Amino acid sequence: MARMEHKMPDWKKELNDLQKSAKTPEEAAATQAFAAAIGPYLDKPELLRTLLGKIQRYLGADEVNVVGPNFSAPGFSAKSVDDLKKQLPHDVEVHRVE
Amino acid sequence: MVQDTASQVDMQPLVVADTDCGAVFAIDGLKFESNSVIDLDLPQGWFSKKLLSSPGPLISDFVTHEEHFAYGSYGIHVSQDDRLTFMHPDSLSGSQILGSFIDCRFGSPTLKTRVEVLFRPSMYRRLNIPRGVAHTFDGLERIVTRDEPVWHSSPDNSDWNVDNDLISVDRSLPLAQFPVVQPNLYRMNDELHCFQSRLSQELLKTPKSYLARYPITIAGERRFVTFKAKEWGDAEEAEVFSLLDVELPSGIKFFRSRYALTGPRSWTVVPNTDACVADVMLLPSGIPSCKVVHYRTRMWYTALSSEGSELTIRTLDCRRDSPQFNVPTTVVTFCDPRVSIMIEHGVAYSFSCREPVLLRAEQEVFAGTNEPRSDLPLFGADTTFVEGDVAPMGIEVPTLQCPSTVVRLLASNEILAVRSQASQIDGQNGAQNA
Repeated sequence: MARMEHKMPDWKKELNDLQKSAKTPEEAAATQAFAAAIGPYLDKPELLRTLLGKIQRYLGADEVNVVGPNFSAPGFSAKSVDDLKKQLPHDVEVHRVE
Repeated sequence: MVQDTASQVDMQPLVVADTDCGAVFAIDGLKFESNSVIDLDLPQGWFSKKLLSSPGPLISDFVTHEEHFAYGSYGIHVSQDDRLTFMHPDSLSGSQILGSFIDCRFGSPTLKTRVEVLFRPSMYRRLNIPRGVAHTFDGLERIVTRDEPVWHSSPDNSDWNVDNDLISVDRSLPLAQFPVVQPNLYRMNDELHCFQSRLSQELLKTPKSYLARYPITIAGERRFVTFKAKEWGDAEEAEVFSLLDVELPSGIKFFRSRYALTGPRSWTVVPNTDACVADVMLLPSGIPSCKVVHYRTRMWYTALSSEGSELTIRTLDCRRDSPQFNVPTTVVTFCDPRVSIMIEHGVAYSFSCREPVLLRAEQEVFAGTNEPRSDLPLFGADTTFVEGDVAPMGIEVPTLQCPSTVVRLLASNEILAVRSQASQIDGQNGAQNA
């Protein structure tokens, strides 16, 4: 059952208005930096997932950190993204590379 | 002797007493602070405690943890200061949580300092974890965590991903190899917090799994790679549909909550309302002796704990124009954070469950076209108890929904009043002890 819906906000306009209404230099700097970070996503909102900062449970089904020391250690280097993908178990996938 | 491997258990954790709400630790900014909790003197079976938001942006989200929940990594946030309240509906629960923290902030006076803390869940205190401090926890099974984030931004910070504010670090990595990160500099104002929270709500209309984000060297270049568990949420649609597919009386609706999956059966639930502010109510086990009605306030409830336990909702529609005016009804559902229960203003209700339940409570407030109305309670005092199954009188409920700023103002006022009262009591106790 759908939640009660308000009119869909115009996120870009609202963000623009927030930038104009910043009251202190720190607010202005924060808003500008946030707008710069999220702006490209507002043109393609399908690229956004959650806008959250969380930690998630072990990724793999067997409770072993499949993205573990092999990948995290500074000495590790995959030859390519495809090389990295081949080393993952069947139930974990690469979503994005920045 | 402390060894330099992050996963080492040789270091003895600091044990924080159950009543210690002010413990400070060796990492700069890592500390407990007191929450505002009201012990409620309500009729039998009604909410016994109310946890208010902490001062600040008033945004909160809630993380539930399935049985056998475990973290495989530390997490570092670049934008987000965490303010975490760990709760269990059974205050006598003996569960202990072990928190592990490593300061990874560039330029910090306590860089690479490691702290381990052993503590019990309590709604009376929150743990402040500054952005840039790696953290992980053990012992979170069945614990509900409220996070009240404080977000920051910076220009051109490659450590920061605005959509996924996480740098994951494997738990077994030696301390010396933990990354050093640049935390964001500028605190976002409250309006921007609401903007981000509301946009997050919009994104999570369709639940998504939360992604791990690891710094990995690929072909000699340091990149960030996000990983996704493929099978999380496979059973979601059918389960949630069965919870939503219930015949309901007038004035009550069930909605799918807005949430991300942080485990196969662990969820991070974000707000339902534009105000983004919520209280946490503790419902004791048993059957309330009466119902409650709000004439100006539409309520949204989400059962955060006791998943799978039967939750009975008894209602009595007190709205004079309703087709079910004065008709008592009973709805039986199950506690599940993936479903939120909306109760219209003017509908009296009660909840009952065989075990204690933590409920998130959100509000939307209404005014009439002909205010002031002497037949309605004041804003902020809108709770009337209803005995039996007869509506006290038919009410024409107000129809103009107030802006979210009103809800946030009411919440802020309540927080200030409670904190002021607590300060006065502390002052009186101090004077008596002197």
